[in-house]
Amino acid sequence: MTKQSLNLNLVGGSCVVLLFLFFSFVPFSPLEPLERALYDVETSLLISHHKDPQRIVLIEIDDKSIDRLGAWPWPRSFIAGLVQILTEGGAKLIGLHLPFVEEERNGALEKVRDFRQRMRDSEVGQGNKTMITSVQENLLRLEEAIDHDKQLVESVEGSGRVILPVLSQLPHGQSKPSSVDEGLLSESFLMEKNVDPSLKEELSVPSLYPPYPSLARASLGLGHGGPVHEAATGRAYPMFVTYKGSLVPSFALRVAIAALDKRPGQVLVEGNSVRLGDRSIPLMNGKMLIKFDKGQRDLPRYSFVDVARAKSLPPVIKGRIGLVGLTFGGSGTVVTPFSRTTSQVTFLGYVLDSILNKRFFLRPSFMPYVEGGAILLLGALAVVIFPGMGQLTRLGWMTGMVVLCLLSGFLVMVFSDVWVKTATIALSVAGIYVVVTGIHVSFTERATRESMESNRLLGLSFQSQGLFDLAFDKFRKLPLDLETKDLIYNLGLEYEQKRAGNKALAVYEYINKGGGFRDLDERIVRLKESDKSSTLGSHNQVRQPSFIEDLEEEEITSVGRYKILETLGRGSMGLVYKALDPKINRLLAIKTIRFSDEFDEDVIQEIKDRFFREAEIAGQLSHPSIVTIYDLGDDRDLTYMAMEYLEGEDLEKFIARNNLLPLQKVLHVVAGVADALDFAHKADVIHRDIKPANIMLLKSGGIKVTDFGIAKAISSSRTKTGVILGTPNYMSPEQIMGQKIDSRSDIFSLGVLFFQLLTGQLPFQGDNLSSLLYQITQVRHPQLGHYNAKIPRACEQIMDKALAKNPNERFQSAAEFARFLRMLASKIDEMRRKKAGQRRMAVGV
Amino acid sequence: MGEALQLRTSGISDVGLQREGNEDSLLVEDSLGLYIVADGMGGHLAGEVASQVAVEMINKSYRKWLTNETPEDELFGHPDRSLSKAGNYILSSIRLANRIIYEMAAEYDQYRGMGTTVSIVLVSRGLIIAANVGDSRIYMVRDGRLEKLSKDHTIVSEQVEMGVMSAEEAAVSPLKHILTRNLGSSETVDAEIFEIEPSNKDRLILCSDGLTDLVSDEEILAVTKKAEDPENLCQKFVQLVRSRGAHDNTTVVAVFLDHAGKRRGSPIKKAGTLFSDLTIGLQKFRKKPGK
Repeated sequence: MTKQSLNLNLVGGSCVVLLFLFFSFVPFSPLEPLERALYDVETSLLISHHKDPQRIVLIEIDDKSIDRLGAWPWPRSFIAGLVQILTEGGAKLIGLHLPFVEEERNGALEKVRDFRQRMRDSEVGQGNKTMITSVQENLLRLEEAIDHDKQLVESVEGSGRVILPVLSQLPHGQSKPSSVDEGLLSESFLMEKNVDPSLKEELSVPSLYPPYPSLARASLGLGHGGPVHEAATGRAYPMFVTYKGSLVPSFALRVAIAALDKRPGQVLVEGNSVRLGDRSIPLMNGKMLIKFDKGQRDLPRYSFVDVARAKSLPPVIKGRIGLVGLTFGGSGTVVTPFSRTTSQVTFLGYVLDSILNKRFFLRPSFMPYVEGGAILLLGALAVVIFPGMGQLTRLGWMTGMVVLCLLSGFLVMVFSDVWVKTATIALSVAGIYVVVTGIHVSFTERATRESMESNRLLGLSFQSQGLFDLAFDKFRKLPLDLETKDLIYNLGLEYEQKRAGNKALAVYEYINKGGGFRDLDERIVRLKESDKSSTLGSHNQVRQPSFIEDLEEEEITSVGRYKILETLGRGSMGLVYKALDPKINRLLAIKTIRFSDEFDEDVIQEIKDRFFREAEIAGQLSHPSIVTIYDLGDDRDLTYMAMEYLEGEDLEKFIARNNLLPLQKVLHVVAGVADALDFAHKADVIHRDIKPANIMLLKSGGIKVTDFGIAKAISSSRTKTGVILGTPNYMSPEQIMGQKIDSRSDIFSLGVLFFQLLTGQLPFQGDNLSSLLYQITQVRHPQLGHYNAKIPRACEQIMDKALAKNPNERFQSAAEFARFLRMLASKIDEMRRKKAGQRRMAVGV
Repeated sequence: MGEALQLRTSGISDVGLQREGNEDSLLVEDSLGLYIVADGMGGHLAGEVASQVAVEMINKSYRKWLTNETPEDELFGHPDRSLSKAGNYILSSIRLANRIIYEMAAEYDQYRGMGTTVSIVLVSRGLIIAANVGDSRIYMVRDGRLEKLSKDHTIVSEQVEMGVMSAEEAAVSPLKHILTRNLGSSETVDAEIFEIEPSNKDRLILCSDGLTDLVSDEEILAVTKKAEDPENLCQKFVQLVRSRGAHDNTTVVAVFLDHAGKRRGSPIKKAGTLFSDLTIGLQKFRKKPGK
């Protein structure tokens, strides 16, 4: 971890901490919805079942009631009847959560009242007084019967225990009442002390609409009946609203006040709580945090119509609080943990029950400081420990801290009913994690790119120094992609070349971990087998060394790093194989020489060194007609030379009498060889072993000369058997005599080859070696015409000059030889064209 | 295109009269214009190995990067933007060699504690790069004056630089062979590296401390000025050292610029090298009164 990234971590982490600290203190942080969601999850996990005394009965104006009694709004006499029933049933309180902002518009009542009025006005001295009185009385009764408002007022007044709502918004379609008697509200005002003005501002309502005055005066009290702020989220309930600077209790609170036999004036709103008798209801922004309980779900509820029809209630109502409200489809709903469509009145029931049974969560005013402290503490911890960690560890710690945070928040809620805003704390930790990880990733990406390049370079350098183990260490630090596999594969090949089969195996198996690669599986199997057989072989070797050697000659599968594909033939000193260089996927020919078979041990190293030296010099010859040498090496007791693989055949095949090449072709081939020799001679390389087996006739028609200079390494050495290696048939006289030889020796050998290609016979033959040597040094070669009369005279002359015993009488350079051969070839061509022309002429005549 | 660079070069490493092995290594690579002297240290053969590895790695990696025209960002370690591309190749090759030697020393018991100095001169048309770590020096004789292109990384030379010690005290201090930097002792190494513009008849000498311990700067200047060709110069130095006891291995590489050639570089770079030449010159000028 660099200093730079450390500082970045510190700065980034601090920014996150500060941001979340800010969030934890502002009232409307963008994280609030998340906190609410978390709160919902926590509270729904927390819902328990208490056997609290049930004090509430719900009377629902439900769909069933609407079906039976007609569409809402109903005549108020229905409600009056219910109030009467509830009162008679012994209800302690009646909460009518229904809008009665204005008096009912009753056309019939107006008419009756109007008629009676006019009658009284016109009664003076006319007609039957008794009848008029009776009519008047009947009219009055009729009037009373249809004056629903009056009935409601009377029933409410008679009951003396009815709480009515004041509304801050008018029900849909209702017009604004002409005037509001504010005196009616003053009785409901709560006492206050140290209430945050901004909170009051927040909860203030511009207007309040109490029930019509006569009804309002008849009621026990008024409470703000909604629509409730935030009621739609159903987790918190405002305890009051501010109206013209005074605090008006909410409907549920007003009912609770009455249920505890108090008056609003006895209730004190103080800072963050409401004092109601021995109760202190904690507030958060003026709202109570409801702690739901399963018991609430089973609040007894009755359909309005059932109660009205039966004209009585089950005894359950006695001493309880009856809450009357709308639940039919289309009336407003609230989301609560029990149902997403809890009716308003049911929700009020929950709230009231929570107040009465003291089930609420706390959110003390110091909570933001506690949370801020937690953010600072955890944030500091995270900023300090995260950067030094590995990816997984860091993720683990982050998750641990988040879980711990959420869990402790939950436990605090369970045991002390306090709501901790843990989402903000948890998110601050997660935020620091993201920042640190981001910085780490961007830094490590750069660093790894660099260190990868370094490791690659180091690996290659170690490999080039022959420090394969260190190289493998470096390569192992690279991601195992195709490029790396290639690098490591090459390392494996080098191990194999050094006969470190176990190491090679380990290397290959490492590559294989990342999936197959080239001929890896094959190599692994082979290495494993050879591992077995080598331990086996070492025992055998002690007992029967010769057997093992023979076996090895036959069953060779690789030489150096090269994979043997097939045996091409037997060269002068060992087998020639067709092989594959797996490193670059190139076919090649491998010539092997087993020096140990031919030479005494004490000189092997010297010969080998010489061989390498000569072959290396020859390998530098770059000519289209000279075979390219790729590599030289030792593998166990085999010395090998890897060279270009040629599609074609050597000239052995074309020196048989019955398979001779045409004259023109022979001239071409020999001239080509002469060119190659000339090139080599100019580079001071003498071939010394020109013979049919060393010249390849390619499918493409060209030729390639092989085995440059190798004879020198070997021929001058004493062999085990004392025999000269290879065949002396192509040797020059000076070679046989053991004199110092030069490029003209190659010309003599090429002459022998030329002779053989033309006639299918060697120019010098003998029954035994000494007679052959005698022939070469002393006897003139036979005439070509003796074998084939068709061979031109000019050929004879060239042959004489090539096979001259004295080097000074020969062609002095291979180029000269080639020039003569080409001259001859073109003359023959010319003659043929002439002949053909003559023939054409003859035909034409 | 400018005129071709004409160089005559030679290098010699002499075991001396008292040591059994030669821990110095050298490279004279005219095809690259790359010349290196490295003085290895460490028991048994470790010193030899360290100096050889350094020479080999620097040669190999420089050659490879040059051939591939490797971008500077893909070298070993951060490139130094104030240097030419070739300068960065040299810098990076020194870092790589250091790391190789360091890891070899850490990995193998027989190489424990090995290290080496290294002095490198890269001569190309229009640019001489001189780089060194340790106390093997690079001298340049130009216009009859001797200039040191290397900086000794020894405790005493640093003290001389700080003015704590005089040059005379430094020459006889028992601490004069204690290096503050070398290849192989720490995971990373900072090399001293200069790029200057060559001029005709410049003569550059790279040498191990076997020479500088026994031959003074004045003598080096005199011998170099007199020498006809680099072979002759190298021989002269070795003879001189041997005549004085040759207690250490002595390695000298001499590079004679017969013709500096003309640089192809952009005028901006040219100005840059001119500026750096000037700065170096000024520094030397400033130091003189202190002496």
